[in-house]
Amino acid sequence: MVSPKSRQYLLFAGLLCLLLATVPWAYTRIHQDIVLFHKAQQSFMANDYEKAAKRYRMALAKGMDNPRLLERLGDTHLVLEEFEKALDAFMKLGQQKPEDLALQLKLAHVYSLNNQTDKALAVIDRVLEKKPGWETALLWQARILARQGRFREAIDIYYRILGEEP
Amino acid sequence: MKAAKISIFMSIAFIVLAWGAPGISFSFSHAPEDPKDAFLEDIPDWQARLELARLLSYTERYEDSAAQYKKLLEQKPGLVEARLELARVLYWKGDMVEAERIFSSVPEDELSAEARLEMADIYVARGEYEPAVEIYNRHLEKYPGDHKVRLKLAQVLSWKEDYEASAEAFRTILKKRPDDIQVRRKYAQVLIWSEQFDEAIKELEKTLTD
Repeated sequence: MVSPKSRQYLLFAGLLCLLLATVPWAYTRIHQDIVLFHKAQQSFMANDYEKAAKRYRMALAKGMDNPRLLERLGDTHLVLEEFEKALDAFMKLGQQKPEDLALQLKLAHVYSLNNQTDKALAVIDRVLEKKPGWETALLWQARILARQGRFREAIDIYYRILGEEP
Repeated sequence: MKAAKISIFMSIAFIVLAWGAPGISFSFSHAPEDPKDAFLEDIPDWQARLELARLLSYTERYEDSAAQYKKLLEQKPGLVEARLELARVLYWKGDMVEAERIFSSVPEDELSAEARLEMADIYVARGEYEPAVEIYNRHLEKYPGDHKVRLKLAQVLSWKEDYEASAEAFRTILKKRPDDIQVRRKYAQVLIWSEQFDEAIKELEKTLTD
């Protein structure tokens, strides 16, 4: 025969088990976007970019509003060479973070990969207007020009970055 | 007494929740580390110099290119890719003695896959086909779908008069790229060299539209 005290302890233990089982389940139901983002990050780190992109998009569709999500989504599409989709993500992010010049450089890089060199160079020009002489921007400008076969212009910029005469 | 029991239960439940709630664990302990963003990092001088040296070599400014590679190697003597690229530029420039000296100082086992292919190309330029074939074969074991390298292998094999192996490599490429006219013509050339004229004619006919 179970004593009332033991019954009480059993009841406590049962309730605790129930809590342990239901809390994670409830959390994943309520915060699906966070869970999806976390899983997408894991896929990204494991180099499973197809799965990562799908999960980032799902997190976005669940209403997650986090600049990191858009940046990662753009990066993932970039790795998958889906440049239009990458541009879409980075442009949305650019609206949220208009002062982020590094993001603008990334946008220029994707434009260049998408064979939109004029747009890429225009973005770099705008960045250099805001931060004249910024070597990182100059280097990306040189890289974009070189990609387009404009070697001489690119070479001049490289010499400028290195502080040497051509 | 009853109230005390309830408060003990609530305390235990809180501890369990705080310890095990997935949200908390996501935020702190198990969140995967985000890689640093390359766009936010300052690009070092040596990287810019390496890119400049490459561009100068593309525009056939070998003298300037070699000068940049040498400056780079003073800064980063362990950069074996740069050493290899300098050797290649010196070959193009016609400075064979210096190129040989630098080329022989490159430790092959420290090279990246890309640099190894570069090394194979230099072996080919020197007319040393055997080590080049070895490098291409090792690369193709890892990347069997790299037709660009398989084409190089096929050509080098034909130059060392191993026509059978060369033709086999060409056939492997053509299985995947049956419409590549240039590859088929090169294959036909190998068939001609190996005196398989009928086969060569058939292959050449396939490359003609009329």
